Amino acid sequence: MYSPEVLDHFRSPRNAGTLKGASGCGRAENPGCGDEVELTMRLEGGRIADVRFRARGCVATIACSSRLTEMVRGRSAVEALAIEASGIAASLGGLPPASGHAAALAIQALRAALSSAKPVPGTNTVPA
Amino acid sequence: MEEAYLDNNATAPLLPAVFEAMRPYFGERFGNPSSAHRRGREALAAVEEARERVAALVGASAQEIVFTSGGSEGDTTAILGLVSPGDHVITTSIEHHAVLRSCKRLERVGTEVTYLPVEANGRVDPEAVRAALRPTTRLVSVMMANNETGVLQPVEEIGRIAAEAGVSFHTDAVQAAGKVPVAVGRLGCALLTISGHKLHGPPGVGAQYVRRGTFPRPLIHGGPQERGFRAGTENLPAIIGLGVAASLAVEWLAAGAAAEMAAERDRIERTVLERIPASRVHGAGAPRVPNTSSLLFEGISGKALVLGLDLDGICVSTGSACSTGSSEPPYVLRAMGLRPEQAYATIRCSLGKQTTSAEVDHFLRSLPGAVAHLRALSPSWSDGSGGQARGA
Repeated sequence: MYSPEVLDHFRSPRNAGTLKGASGCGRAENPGCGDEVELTMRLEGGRIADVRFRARGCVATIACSSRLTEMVRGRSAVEALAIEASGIAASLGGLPPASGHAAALAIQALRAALSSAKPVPGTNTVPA
Repeated sequence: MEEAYLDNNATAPLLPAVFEAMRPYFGERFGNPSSAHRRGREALAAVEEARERVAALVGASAQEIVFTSGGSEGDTTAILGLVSPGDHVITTSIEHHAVLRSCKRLERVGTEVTYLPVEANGRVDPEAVRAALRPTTRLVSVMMANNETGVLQPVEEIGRIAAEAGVSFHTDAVQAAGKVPVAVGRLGCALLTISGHKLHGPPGVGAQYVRRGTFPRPLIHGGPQERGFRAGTENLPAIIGLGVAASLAVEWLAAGAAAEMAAERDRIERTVLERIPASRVHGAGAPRVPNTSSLLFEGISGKALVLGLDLDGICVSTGSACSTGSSEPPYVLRAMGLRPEQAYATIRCSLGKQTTSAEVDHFLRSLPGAVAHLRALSPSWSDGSGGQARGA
């Protein structure tokens, strides 16, 4: 049911935890299944210099959140916002049919984190 | 990989004697019990022997046992077969979907249904049944044991209340039969539902106790099998299997094995409560079947824990198997007053007669690490190193 990549991220999540001194923090919840994702990040020079995630949810939610932190590290806010749920799913070798919400939830948390980030003077303002 | 199968409420494996008893009926002893020739007569005799065995499991007479395709059919027949538009039905909010959806179906055609709440320990108050009775009440349906928590309902009292009011009483005994003694006379029930694969018989077969004088409209129409209660050529091997499973259950109960099983289940719960912080057992204070343990671990997703344990070869479930495919909230636990995140943070562990203490040991070795792994990731858990944990 789960791809090897998904299981790998479940067993060995990347970038788990909370970032101290974060410039952005975002949370997303799916009340329909009780899943929640939290992303904390530090932006430097308009790029995501560091990022962490925490997640309470099914395997897919954990795997998508973990994978997303890998995908956004080093990227600009604009690049990060262009990531789509299908892209996360594809990079994990696909998700089981009932797990569509997992990637979307991770992206929601990402958007919330980017929206909350305080803009660094002299760089682009983070889009809302 | 070492395995532990602790999801017997979802389905229980056939006991070896059950499979052996069934085998010839797939082979040289095949036959249609309705046939006039010797082969048919022998098949009929085998069915009737199985009928006696099932009757003995519930304290009924053989003529009161109807073979079905399983628990869902039995529950559906009880509800749809007895109730008509304009009638009133009393049931509970924690019944199996087979009862609840049958009731929903009836509501669409003008039947009124009262879904009684349960207390925090998962039990229905018999007085609530009494208070809900109306002149139009046709049926009370209350399960004997709940599939998610194992909690036993006060069905004898409820049966008395229904009898006093002249109302038929049905009990879904799918998770109870074979685990605790069942006596239809004491329950005063008009209908009682049994499922084969929950008592180590084969799937796809069940039995309904139909008290003499009760005539639920049949769901399946066709030939005159089962004295007109349920048409269809009998599933001969499965019925034989169910009969043997029933007899084995009678022996198991008589040997006092239920207490040993309960002790093993209690060992799981004791160990969990001792070793894993912020854990809880649902329905612990209520009478329960001996094999079921509904365990809450604050701050995590039960579904993720099920998979984490699965990676270690351990089979458990969240709530009931039938709701795994959907993402609906575990309604039984919500009915017991749990918050959604607590209901989602619960797993069910259910032992079987074949479960060894080595399997239980394996589960108890893996569980703390699996929970800790998820709590380390969870924004809803704090072990003191940051973040906020939600209170119980």
